[in-house]
Amino acid sequence: MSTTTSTPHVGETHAEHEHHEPGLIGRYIFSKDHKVIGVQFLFTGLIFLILGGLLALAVRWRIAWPTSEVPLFGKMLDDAGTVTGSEYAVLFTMHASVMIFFVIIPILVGTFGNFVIPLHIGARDMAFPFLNGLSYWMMPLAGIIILFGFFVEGGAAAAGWTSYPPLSVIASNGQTCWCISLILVGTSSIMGSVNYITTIIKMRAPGMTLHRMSLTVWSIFITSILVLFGTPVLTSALILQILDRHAGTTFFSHDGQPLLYQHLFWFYSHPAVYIMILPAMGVVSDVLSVFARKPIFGYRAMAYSMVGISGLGYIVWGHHMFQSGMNPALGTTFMISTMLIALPSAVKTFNWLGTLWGGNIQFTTPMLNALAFVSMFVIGGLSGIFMAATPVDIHIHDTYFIVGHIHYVLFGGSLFGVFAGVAFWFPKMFGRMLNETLGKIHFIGTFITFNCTFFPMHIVGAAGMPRRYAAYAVEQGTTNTWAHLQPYNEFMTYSALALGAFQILLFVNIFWSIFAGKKAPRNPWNANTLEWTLPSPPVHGNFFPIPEVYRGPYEYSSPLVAEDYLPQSRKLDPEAEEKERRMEAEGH
Amino acid sequence: MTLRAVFVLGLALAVLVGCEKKPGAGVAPPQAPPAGGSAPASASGATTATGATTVLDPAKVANGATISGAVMVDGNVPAPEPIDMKAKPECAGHQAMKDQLVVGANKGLRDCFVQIKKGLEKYKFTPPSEPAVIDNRGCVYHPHVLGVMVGQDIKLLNSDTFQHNINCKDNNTFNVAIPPGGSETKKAWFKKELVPTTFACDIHPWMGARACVVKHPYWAVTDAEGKYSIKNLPPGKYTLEVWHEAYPGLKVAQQSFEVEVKEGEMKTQDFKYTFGG
Amino acid sequence: MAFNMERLRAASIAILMLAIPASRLFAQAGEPAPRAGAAVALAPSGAAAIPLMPEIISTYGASVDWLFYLILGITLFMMILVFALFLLFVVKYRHQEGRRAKFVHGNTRLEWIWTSATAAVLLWLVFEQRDTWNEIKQKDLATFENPYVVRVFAEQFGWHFLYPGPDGKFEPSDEKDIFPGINPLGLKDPKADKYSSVLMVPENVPVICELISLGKYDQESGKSTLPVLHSFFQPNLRFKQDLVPFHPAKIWFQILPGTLRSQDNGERKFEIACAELCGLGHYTMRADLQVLSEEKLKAGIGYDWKTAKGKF
Repeated sequence: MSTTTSTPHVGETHAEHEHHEPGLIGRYIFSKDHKVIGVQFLFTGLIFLILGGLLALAVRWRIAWPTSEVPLFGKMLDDAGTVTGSEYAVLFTMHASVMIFFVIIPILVGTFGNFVIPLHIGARDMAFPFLNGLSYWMMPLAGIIILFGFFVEGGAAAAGWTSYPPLSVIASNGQTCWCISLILVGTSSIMGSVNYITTIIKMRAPGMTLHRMSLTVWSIFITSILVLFGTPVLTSALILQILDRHAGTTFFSHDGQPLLYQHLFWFYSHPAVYIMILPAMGVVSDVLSVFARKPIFGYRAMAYSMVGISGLGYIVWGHHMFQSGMNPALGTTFMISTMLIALPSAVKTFNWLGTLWGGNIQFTTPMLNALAFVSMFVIGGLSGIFMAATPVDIHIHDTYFIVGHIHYVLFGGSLFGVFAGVAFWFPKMFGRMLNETLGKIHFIGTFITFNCTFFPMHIVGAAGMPRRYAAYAVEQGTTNTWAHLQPYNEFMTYSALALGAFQILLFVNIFWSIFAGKKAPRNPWNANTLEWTLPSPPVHGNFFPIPEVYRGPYEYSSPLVAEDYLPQSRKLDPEAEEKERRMEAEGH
Repeated sequence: MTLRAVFVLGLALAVLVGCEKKPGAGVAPPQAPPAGGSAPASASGATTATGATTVLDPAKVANGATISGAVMVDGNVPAPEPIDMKAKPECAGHQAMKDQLVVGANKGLRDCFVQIKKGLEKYKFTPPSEPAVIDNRGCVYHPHVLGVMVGQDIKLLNSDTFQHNINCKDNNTFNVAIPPGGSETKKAWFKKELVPTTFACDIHPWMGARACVVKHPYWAVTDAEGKYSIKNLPPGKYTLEVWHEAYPGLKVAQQSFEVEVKEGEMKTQDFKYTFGG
Repeated sequence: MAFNMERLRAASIAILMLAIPASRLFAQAGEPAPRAGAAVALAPSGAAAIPLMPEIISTYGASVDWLFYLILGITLFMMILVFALFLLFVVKYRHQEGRRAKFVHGNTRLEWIWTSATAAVLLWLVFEQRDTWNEIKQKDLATFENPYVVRVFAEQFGWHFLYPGPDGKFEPSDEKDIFPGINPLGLKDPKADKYSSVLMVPENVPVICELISLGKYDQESGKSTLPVLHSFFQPNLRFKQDLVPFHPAKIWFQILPGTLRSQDNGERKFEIACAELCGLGHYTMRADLQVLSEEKLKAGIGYDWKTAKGKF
């Protein structure tokens, strides 16, 4: 972060006046610069990633060895150092809540949304910089409140990340912290999405038509629409839950409708699954195209399939409720819509394959992670078809099959997308290159241990092993049907511990590279999008002057130029320009 | 600037929300006057007039009086029934009888809690140093009813070879899993009186116990023949009260009696329950 | 972490186990597949086998498994296809100095082909599963003649099963009459009808259960704990249904004839689990499903269910 602040002020508008001489705090803490806010989201997300990861390891430890002491952290739980059944419920609830609301959504939407959108569309900043800062600061505040749950009487929320009433209505006060925190996080998301939508619609550089936007921008645009329409529903459900808990209302409890909450919750939370995967899809599409040195295959199909996913995403929520007591006739309806939503996902997968075909693939760290995303998303997507089939869902609903599926989508998908995106934009964020060797070791280790941790879940899940069970042995007072699967459980825990250990490399790499990494040039990957024409990192205000955009972002290996890339803002000589126009008309 | 203000405001809000949720005042001495937020002591106003009370050690009461007696049941008490333990394979071989209503051959009622309800307001008591003990043994709690003094330690044991837990659902709640052969001590646990405080096991649904939490040591739990005795009482006028856990059809004829004892006196006071009808 | 050889061994067994189910599938995929038969054939037969799906004991279980293996086949095929192309492309088109990537933006015809092919497969799956779902969850229960009826109560954290008794009518229950351990269901007369922590059912007879979530009533305080969600899950039946408080649901299943083997002596146990998080003791909420011969059932529930003609 080495830029002088004097340059951007030339030609700055009145609106920027307030930012005249930002001190250290103004520049790095309460900044309104979209790039700083993006990095803030990233670091907050990474801190919560450590926490969520440790919670997950404690969960795995309990399942594998219910009676032995948790190393290092056991004494934080109780005197015996083991995870008890009630602590176990807290652990898996908080693991899921932290990972979903404080790691994946902030990093994917917060970091990439903030950092990438203005740079990709050629804008100086977000439409509402103050709202942007506010949106970030809601997040750590919400984080403090959800973690505060650990210190209230009765402990943190333990009703699962879905928090179904009536259980959540009679749960300890940590549940109230959980609700308040999620309302704040939701508010933060809404503020962010309003900002993204406005920025994308109103602030594109001249020549940047919708169909010249990168797929990352497309994905975040669509994600923002999902957030904007979905989050208020969750917020209202949470407010009703708080009223049920503290004001004596009976919306979901007593003789109210417990299923109403489930409908409201999944009306947000199913689109939330797409909120957590669409930006990763966008990022990965960009990374694949850059390192395959090839235009993205079926650009419009890619963009419109995301639109299709978001549209269908709103009418599939009921597939989480096939066994909930909802009218079974609705089951058939939701089954059909769920089968349909597999279609755009399949289209995307085939298009990624098409992008790789005939490429000149460079195996950099971002590319390896993006390739991992594609392959893991294939497994995660295909395993989803089992759940969409209502009769099969009867058997595998609430078993480890679901846990395996969601981790293939959210870890194998979203998190590998995060790794790819962070590695890809790291030079632009910090002006330094990530260490490639460390990055590759981290990738290989993570990829192998990830599969060892989560693939067996499909097998034990097909055997019917229920999720959210603290033990599977008769001495623990529980069922005996799955006791013979304990070797699987132990194996998954060993793999999870290794998976956790490999993430240390990620943090070492990030922090070491920020200070001691190789200095990054303007365009280390020879990429086309606008940010790579700027210094690394770009100055506050980004573009001076605002660039003119002549083409889409994926013109790699174009015959018009000698190099294998053709930046969006490069003006060609009149002859080549004429050729390009003709090619465009032919449908290239 | 404004952004900073919003942040500070938010933080203040978080702290405020936090304070609301904070558990009641830490480990307060048992006889301390009730603090701001906590509920007032249920028994009487004795605690507020700290200056007027004197600390009494029952072991040092010279020539104390004794109240003893028996709790009897009238009526056709059902024959003891085995607990349905079929849902829990680990309990096979530990078949026990239901322990909610245990009547001896002489029709004496076990597990009644008899205490001096009124008349001790002018004294203060220090809880005993040894803990009250409850054991998970053979898939039932031993004892089924235990007396605990406010501020006394509670020791939770598990003599079985499999997992148990004790979920204390009211008064000062806790939920502790006790590994096979393990134990855990809850230090100076209860802060206020409550008869009864319910203990239950979340793993074995039939397991239940009642802790009767009082501020003084003048209480007894009836034995298998329904007998009790309360010793070392200083002379005075007392209200003696009996409690037995709710059981369908079981009614007490008269729950409390006024009893006046002189120095060294031995008084007898029986209680009567009726069953059925 | 106490690292020992025992755990290392367990881990290596687990790695081996990963490979076995996959190879089993390939080994048996060639068998003729009339819907139900295929699933039964694929189901593991002995304790030594590594179960992908547990043994089926319900009449509709086979059609669930047929769908499972059908989808498994399709998805495995797709996965192998995609991964093969993926690996091929990644290896074949790896970076080589001086080579230039193909300048291709897409292929509309190819995109239409794979989109409609996928859509066709998905549509096939939609129609393939509809009947099974309707059979399990939408059956008109009035069509059964003389079914065996049981009322299923779930509480935090246990199951109770109430039988209608010789008069065929269930004893009415009221929350106010609940005494944990003595009258856990709050029956008007706790001696009138048999209740048990075991679900005893006959073979090859439609069984209808009414699922009720029960609040815990405390006589001392006069307050009741809210009933919560539970889920009745029996993997061998291939059945699962949530219990929604205040909204009792009726479900049905029928035990497959032949479930009682000659060595079982007219009595076989399976486990019922709770599959919806219901609180801290959720994982301890288990009960036995007991499949009994007619004589053993009569002894177990204390009356002849056939003459009782139980009704809700």
